[in-house]
Amino acid sequence: MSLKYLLISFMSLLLLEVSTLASSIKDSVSFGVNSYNDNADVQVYSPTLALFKKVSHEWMVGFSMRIDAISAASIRNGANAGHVDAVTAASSTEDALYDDIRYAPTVMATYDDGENMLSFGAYYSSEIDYIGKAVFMNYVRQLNEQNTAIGIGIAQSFDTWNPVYDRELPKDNRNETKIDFSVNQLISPTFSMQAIYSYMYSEGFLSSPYHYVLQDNIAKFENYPDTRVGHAFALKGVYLLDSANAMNFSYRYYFDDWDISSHTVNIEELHDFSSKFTSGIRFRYYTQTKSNFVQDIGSYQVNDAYFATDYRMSAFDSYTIGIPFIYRLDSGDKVTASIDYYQTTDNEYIQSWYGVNNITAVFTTLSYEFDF
Amino acid sequence: MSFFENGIKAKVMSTQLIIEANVSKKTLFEALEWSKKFEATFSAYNEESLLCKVNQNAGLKPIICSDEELELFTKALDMAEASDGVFDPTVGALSQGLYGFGKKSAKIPTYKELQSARKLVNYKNLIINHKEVYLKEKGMKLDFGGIGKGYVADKIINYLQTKGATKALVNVGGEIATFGKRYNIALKDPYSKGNLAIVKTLQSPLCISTSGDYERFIASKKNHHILDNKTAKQNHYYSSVTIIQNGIDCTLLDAVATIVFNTSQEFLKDISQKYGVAIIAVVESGEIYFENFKSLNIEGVELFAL
Repeated sequence: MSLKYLLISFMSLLLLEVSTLASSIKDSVSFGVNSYNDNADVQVYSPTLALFKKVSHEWMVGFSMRIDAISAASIRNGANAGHVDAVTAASSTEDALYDDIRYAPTVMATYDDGENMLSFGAYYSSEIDYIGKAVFMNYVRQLNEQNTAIGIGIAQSFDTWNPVYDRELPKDNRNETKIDFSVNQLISPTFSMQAIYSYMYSEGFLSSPYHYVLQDNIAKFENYPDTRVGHAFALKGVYLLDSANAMNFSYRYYFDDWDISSHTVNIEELHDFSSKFTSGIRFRYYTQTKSNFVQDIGSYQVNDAYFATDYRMSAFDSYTIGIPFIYRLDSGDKVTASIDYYQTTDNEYIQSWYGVNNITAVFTTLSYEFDF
Repeated sequence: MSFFENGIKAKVMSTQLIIEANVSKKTLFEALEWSKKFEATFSAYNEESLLCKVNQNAGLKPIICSDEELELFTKALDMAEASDGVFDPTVGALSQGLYGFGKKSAKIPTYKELQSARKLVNYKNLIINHKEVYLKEKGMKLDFGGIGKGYVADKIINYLQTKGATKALVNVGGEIATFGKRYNIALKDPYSKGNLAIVKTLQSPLCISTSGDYERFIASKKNHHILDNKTAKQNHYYSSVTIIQNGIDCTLLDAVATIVFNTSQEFLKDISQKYGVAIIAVVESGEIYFENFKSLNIEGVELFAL
């Protein structure tokens, strides 16, 4: 289910792209494939398709489809990926190559009259144990001769768990509300900044149905509080160093009522090696504190209200380093690609559950985009 | 298979093949290529396969085979003789010819059809002469579904060892062979999507094979795919049987799993001693029988408590 966040990231990127380019966007198609591989035996291969079509001077509609072919020990081996290397079973009728395939279509529409831009849409995703449904809306108002833009974005998801392994949950819903307020300001012809405040509210079954705490005297599935309220403040900037170099940077501070707080720093340098080819390097650092209910491994008591064993409830840092590539063909078509390497710091919860000291992952993207 | 692991995962023989070993990727792909070649040779669904040619020429003429190809025919016949036909590779007349397990045309045959086809199941009419294989009766069919995956697991393990592997796990659709490292092998629970137990291995070679009624059947588990050759019907002694043995002989274990599935509980001890294997048998009431575990060199078996 954590892969849902990949989808949300993808949707956010889609919205960002539309927000930024709405008035100049043309009828276009892009298709590609993304991949994710980590050392906890999770692999995801994701063909993607996105179609944008202007239906009038102001209106544009879009459709995207992402299919995630997922191989994961946690699905294949019965929840505890680090504990089981293989499963012996009766001959099946037809074993699939992938453990799960998720289909995630998104539909959206955008209105843009040059001063007001409104986008809205919906997405749906279906996987072996989880149905995700969401609607989203984003409004941006241009001010000050388009040197300033203010925006509001709202997304509401209505998700449903359907866990495998006959696991009965106290509740099966997971709803999330996210509201963003943003201000964009062109500081100079070569420098623009964006400030964003985000409010996030989650309710329902918020832990994994499969992770469990196993001690000498305790065997309990994870159980988190039923609600979570988070706030985030972010600053993003784009700075054109010269005609061939640009820098993107951002900082985000997050905190919530589970006492998790985090800092995220992104920095990316892009260089035009020619009129056709752009590449660069990017770096991301993330650090978070632990939740107020996670306890040291082996120290839970049977009457504790909450049980957590997922490392994302503990304190950890992570680093990502990546290289993006953009190649523009003479026809105007564009090929974009990227490769990123991700690594967390050593963490005893990762060691306990996955049997490795830290999570390392490689994710790649490749897409081809053309106008029609 | 993860980018980070020295392994390979692919779909072969309508099942998952997973190989993890400390050998080069090239060696892993060579093992995969071998398994694809095996599938092309012994597939019951490919009319160009050697197996189908032997079946098509039943009662007509022998088919010439290479020494390598002959090995599986010989092993299957040996197991049939050792089990007095409880395991019988000529069960194809029933499993493929009548029921059509694995085909779109799968159906439940009539009693009359079963009794007629049952006469075509007789390993004594499988003739292996030097480099020729021959089924004596027209209509006879070989089906290596009860031995083929185990044989592939053995061959891959042997190949990895010749290439210098000092640790490996090979999983051919649940037929599992390991050596050189401690592995945790889970046994699927026949009554849920979860697992029933974990066999914790030591570094010494170990094989595990499972047969059960809960995956392949027509309409209901009552019509599962493991047929009793003597009656042409299904037995319901167990929902799942798992066979474990130190050493690398998945071919034997694959066949023994079929034999145990068609043998009532009172004979479990005899079979475990005859073949030198340990047995975990799950019956419909939920009871679990363990047999001959003292013979096993493993760290232990952990039953899931959750």
